[in-house]
Amino acid sequence: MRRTAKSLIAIAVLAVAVVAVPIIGLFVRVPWTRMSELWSNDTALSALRITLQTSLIATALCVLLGVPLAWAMSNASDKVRTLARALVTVPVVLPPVVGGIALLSALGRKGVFGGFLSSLGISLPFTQTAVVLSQLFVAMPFLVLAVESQFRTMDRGVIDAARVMGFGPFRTFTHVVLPMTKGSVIAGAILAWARAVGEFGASITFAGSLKAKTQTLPMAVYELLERDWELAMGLSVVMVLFAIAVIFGLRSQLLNSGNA
Amino acid sequence: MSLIIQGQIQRGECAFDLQEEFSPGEVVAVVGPNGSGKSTLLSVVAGLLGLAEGSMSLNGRCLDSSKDNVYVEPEQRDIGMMFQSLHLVGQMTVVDNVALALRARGASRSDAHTTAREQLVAVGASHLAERKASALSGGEAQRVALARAIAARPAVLLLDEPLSAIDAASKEPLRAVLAAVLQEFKGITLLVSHDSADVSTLASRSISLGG
Repeated sequence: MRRTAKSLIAIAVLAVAVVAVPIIGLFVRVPWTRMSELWSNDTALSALRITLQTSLIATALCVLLGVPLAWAMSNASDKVRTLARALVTVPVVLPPVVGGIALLSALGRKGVFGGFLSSLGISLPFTQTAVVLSQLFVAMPFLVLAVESQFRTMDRGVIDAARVMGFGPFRTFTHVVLPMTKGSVIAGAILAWARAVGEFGASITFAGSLKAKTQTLPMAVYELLERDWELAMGLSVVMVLFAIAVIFGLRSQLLNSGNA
Repeated sequence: MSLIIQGQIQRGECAFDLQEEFSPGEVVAVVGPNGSGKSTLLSVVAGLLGLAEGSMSLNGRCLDSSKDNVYVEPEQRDIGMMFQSLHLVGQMTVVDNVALALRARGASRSDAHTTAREQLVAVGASHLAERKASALSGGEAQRVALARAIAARPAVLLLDEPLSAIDAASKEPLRAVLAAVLQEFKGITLLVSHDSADVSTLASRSISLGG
């Protein structure tokens, strides 16, 4: 067994505390007796429904768009891949509220494509579609980066083998590459879903926090904070439990990456 | 009906001219020192690499001609190949791996599985059918890779060191399996091997590269 110096262990414990203390605080303070009220609370229930609806659609779009993008990136030249990866990473490092403003300036009523969209009778801001687009914007990078790295580290010789067997480039992808990497695709999708569920900054900017229309769980927590602090904590606990469930679902992936 | 190569093969530093005609039923050993281009030749026949110059045809159909600007993609070539690193799909079962070669050529799922199981019997690996390919030993994986390469009865079978990377004790039975499979096979076989025992027991003739 490798040994870690005691001083470094002390720092590590401090680092764990940074994450653990707020969570423990939440679980200690939350009024468990009032938790059942959440089930009859309109704000919480409609936020839960909207969150599930929008985040699942956003996740499906992440997979449909992001997996082919990741595959194209893994096959591209180093130069193109580096450029694409930088672009895809932008939403990860960008403050989400800036993402929301970017979405507004592109797709808002007065945005670059806003005129075109309204000529088709489409208005995106303050709709559930806007929520989905915001979630897609912030969540897709997580899927693309996870899946792309798997596409590049898989046994690439299998691709040659598939071609010689008689699979064209498209069927090689669907019949051989996807079955080989589905674990990563699922893990990437779960990560993206978790990010979509937690999305706040971009959606509140682009879609607003309209109760029973565009208000998702994080927005509902934020709104409850002013009216009913205890219930806001209750709803927060629900989201923490969701996060724990996500990590539990990803555990095999997390363990694998530790061993690799 | 034959495979005709008249051209130059090149990869990196290694380049050589080849004028050869291969006939159905032949098992031709490709021999030569390391780096002489044995595997490169197989890649060119499979279509994973183009000829540097000249042309190649299979049963009268031009597969590759620099002059006429013809290059038939690997999936259009009717080739079976056993790679030196095998390249099985570790996440799939053995029978699914073999069935892939048949599915690729349009067989239905059930037909592909039936033929794949028959082929696994022929290589003495039927007991492994439901096993994940990643859980196979070296010798087992080689049998499965052989079954996959030949399952669709390609016009040309390419074997890149089919008996390498296994211990001496497993080598003899596997060589016997390979001999039996090749006996049945009606197409052209190119066999890359550095083991003279493989060449003398399996091949009907040999061509030598880089020597």
